[in-house]
Amino acid sequence: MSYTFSLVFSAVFSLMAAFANAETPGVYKNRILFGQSAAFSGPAKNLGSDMKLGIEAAFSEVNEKGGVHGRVLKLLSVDDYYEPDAAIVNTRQLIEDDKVFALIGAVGTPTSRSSTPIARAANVPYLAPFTGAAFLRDPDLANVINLRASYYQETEEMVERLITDLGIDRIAAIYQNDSFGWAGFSGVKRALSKRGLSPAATGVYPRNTTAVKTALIEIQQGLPEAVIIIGAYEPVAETIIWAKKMGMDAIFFTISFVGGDALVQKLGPSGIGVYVTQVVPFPKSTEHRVAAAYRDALESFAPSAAPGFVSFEGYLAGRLAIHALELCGEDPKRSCLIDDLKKSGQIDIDGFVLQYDMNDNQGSDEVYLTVIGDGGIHQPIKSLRDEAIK
Amino acid sequence: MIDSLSQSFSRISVRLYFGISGAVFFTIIASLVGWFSFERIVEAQKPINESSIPLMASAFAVAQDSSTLVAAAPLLTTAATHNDLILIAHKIAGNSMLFQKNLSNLIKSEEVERQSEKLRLLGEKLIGSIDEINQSMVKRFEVQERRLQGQQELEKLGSELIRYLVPVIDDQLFYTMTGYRSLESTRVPYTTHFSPETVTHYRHLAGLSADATFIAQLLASAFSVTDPALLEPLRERFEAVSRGSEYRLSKITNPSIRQELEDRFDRLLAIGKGDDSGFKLRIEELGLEKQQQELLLLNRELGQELVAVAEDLIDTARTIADEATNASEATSVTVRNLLILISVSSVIGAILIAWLFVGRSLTERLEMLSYRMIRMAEGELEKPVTIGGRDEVAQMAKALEIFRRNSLESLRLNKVEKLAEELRGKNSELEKVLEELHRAQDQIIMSQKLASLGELTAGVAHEIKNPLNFVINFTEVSEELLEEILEEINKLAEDISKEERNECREIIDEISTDLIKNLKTIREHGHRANQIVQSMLMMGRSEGEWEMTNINSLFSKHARLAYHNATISNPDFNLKVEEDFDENICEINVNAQDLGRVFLNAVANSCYATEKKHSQQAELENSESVNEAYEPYIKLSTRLVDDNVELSIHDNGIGMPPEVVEKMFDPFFTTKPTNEGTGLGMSLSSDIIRKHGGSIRVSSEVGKYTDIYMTIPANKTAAADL
Repeated sequence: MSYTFSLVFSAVFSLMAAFANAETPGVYKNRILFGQSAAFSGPAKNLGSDMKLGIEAAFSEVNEKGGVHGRVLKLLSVDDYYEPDAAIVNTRQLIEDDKVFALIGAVGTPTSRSSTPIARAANVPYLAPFTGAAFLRDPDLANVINLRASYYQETEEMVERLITDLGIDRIAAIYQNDSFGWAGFSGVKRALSKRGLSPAATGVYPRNTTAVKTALIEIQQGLPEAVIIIGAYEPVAETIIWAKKMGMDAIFFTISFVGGDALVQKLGPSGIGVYVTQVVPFPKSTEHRVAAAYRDALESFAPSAAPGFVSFEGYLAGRLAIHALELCGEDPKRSCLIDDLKKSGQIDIDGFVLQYDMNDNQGSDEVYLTVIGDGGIHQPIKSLRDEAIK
Repeated sequence: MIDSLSQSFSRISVRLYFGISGAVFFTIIASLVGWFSFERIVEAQKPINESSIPLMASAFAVAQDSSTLVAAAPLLTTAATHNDLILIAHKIAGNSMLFQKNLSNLIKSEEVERQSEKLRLLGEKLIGSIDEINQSMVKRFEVQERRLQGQQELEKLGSELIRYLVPVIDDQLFYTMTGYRSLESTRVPYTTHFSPETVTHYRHLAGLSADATFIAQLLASAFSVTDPALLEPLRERFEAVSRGSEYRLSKITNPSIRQELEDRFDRLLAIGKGDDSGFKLRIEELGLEKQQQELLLLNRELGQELVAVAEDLIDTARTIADEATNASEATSVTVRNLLILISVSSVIGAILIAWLFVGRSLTERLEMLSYRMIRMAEGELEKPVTIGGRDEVAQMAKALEIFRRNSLESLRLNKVEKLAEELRGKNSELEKVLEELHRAQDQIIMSQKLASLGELTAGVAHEIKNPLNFVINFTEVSEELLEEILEEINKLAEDISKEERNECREIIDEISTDLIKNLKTIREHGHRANQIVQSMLMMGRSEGEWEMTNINSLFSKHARLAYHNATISNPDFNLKVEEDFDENICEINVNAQDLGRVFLNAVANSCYATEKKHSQQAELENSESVNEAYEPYIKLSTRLVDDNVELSIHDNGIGMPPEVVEKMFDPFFTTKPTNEGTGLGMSLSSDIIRKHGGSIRVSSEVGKYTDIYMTIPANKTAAADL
């Protein structure tokens, strides 16, 4: 009798304690802690740091006004050098040791692939990873909340533009030999087969290297009119430079993952005319309100930093997080981020529209076209026919 | 002798003592029986407690420890890390110490000597075996550690090598195909870049890459192979590949690349060669594993044997214990029965005692006794106390009976005495009454006498009265005539000469003076006789009213009168009068006139007495036989005593002898000379007092004093005219 009683009592007590101490992890009296495991070194190092810059600019903007429901937002970032093993270790650490409220701004497909199961097991929200991999868009991955359009959507746009705007049908593809590369390449293949085409040539290069030249040879043999390159900015730049050196006369198209500015820097003059799909608006745009907001935030937070696509995406990720927290009220819970955000319908971040629902964990479906112009400046274009502004 | 014995035995106290002694005796017997029995049980239990139980306990302990030991060895082999191993070994060491300790305890007992010895031997062997396994495990961990290091090293070197090679190969192929060495360099001619040398170079590089991968794989498999036999083929292949790679390296023309590659390959290959090669390590490791397996097997056999012996041991111990237990049980059964017997007989005995002795012999009779006592206390003394027997109760009964009779007697005696007392009382009462009757009788006679006397005197007085009146009147008349004569004489005298007149006047005066004097004397005597007649007449009558009067003032007033009369007639008689009146006396109903007369009379008597003495003293003074001057003194006092007023007159006069006192109240009795007292004063006073319901008495001593006491009831009761 007394045994049952003590059992019940302890159950109730621990329940109460649980509720009492569900102080949700990461949510403190006057701050909320976010975690980021990303590449801060290696060939993708700019991606990590720019995402961080953007997120922190957004956080700083709201912290100035007193935070969300009286709590300021903080970001804790750890380097995984774009390696899955390190990503696993980091994610575990962020969840178990640092007890972050949610993860945000992770970089890379293979790294995400390794870290999302950990986040999922711990029911920790995984916000706005800097990757368009399809597997992350599986609605079963309820804790993943993607910001950007998928690689499929990007590659679809690439193929569409090439075919529609320029009437090109010989399209080759070079891709990185990992899940990211494969994701992008699958998208290209899909887009082409949708139109009854197949790649003119395919080249593969080992990940985390710039050993692209062998792949380039193969591509060259296919005599493509356009080459879609799925990879990090270093190998992409290497490919384009060598291709141009070899005298290949093709349109080069690459994917948002390159991180536009680094690519531009790497490419130098060879960059002119290279098209890049983006999943965020042109940062220097005057048409988009959100771009202006971003620039203002960046100006306040890091006056010396130049606006860029990756940090813009970071800013949008931050804004998404802020919006979600505002939605979740005085006592934010992880479940709120995971469920309620999706049920909340359309989210408008200064004109940048996100839409979620129970079967759709991807907010934006917009793909933006840019081209690298003279002096290495990206420019927004509506069609490939648009003249690059000099 | 026998009789007195039997007598004393029938006494309750004796019986009680006997009874109690009997009970005590019984108790002692029972206790002794109990004690002896328990002693015996304890004796029987001893073997159990001292040997069987400890034996069993030790046996169990040893059996348990054996099992623990048997299980220990496999436990060792489950250790995942060296630290775990140390912990487990430590624990096992503890267990084996315990085993040996318990075993040494066991060895002491002889009954299980055989098994204990066997256990000891087996235990030793087992512990030895465990030790061996432990050491083997330690070694294994050590080797494993080295192996792991080797594996890590392999992985690192492998990936580094590949990482180095990939771009090199890529560049080489590119160059071969395109002729571009670098971005800066110009394109070389086709024949230059697409030549057998460049292709070969590329082939070698590619081959080296394959070699590197293969080597890494071989070594990795070697590290994880479980069958030592398989190591040889792997080693064989490894050596082949390493030879191949050596050859290929030698063909690399670019010195820096070659240097770099040779370096890396050396390090990689070192893992497979030399004394510390992966293969050797693996062989060692596997060997150790095998050894452990064998040891474990041996260990298990030992363990089984140990367990069997331990079981045998327990059986033996149990048997011993059972035997001892049975023995003690038998004893305790016997004892229990005995005790039951004693208890039952005690109970029966007690019941009998209670019923026969206490109940019949004692309680009944005591109750009877107490009942009789109570009835007696309430007064019922008639019934005799009959309680038989020869004990204290009977004695008490006898005593009670005697007591009863005595009480009865004394009760009767008391009655008799009371009656006698009553009689005596009545007697004295009667005597008193008789006395009173006598007195009354005297009084009646006296008053009769007085009454007749009174009548007589009254008659006489009455008769004398008239003549006396004549006497008096005629004297008066005579006086008047005389005066007239004198007048006439005077008238006649006017005609005579002055000398003649004076002479005649002198003679006339003489004669008239004599005549007057004689007439006066006659008249005085006549008055006197009248007074006497009056007094005599007074005797029968009382005049005056009965009224509420203040006795004190009445007394005082009449006393003063008497006193004054006395002092007037004798001027150098200084009488001291003291008055001591009780103020509390209120007015009483008296005949004031009569009573006043009494007071007057009494005080007058006192004055007379003191005067007489005064003159007597004066004579004596002249003859010088007296020291002091006589001071005449009268004390008048009144007291209220109960319902009576007591008056007293004390004088220190001549007093009266007893014969005089006796006759004092007789009428016409007096001690005064004839011309001074009538002798009726006191008799009248007594009469008057009596009429008031009081009494008068006298006490006197000749020559000294006289006291007159008068008592008058304060409230008028009867006793008026007796």
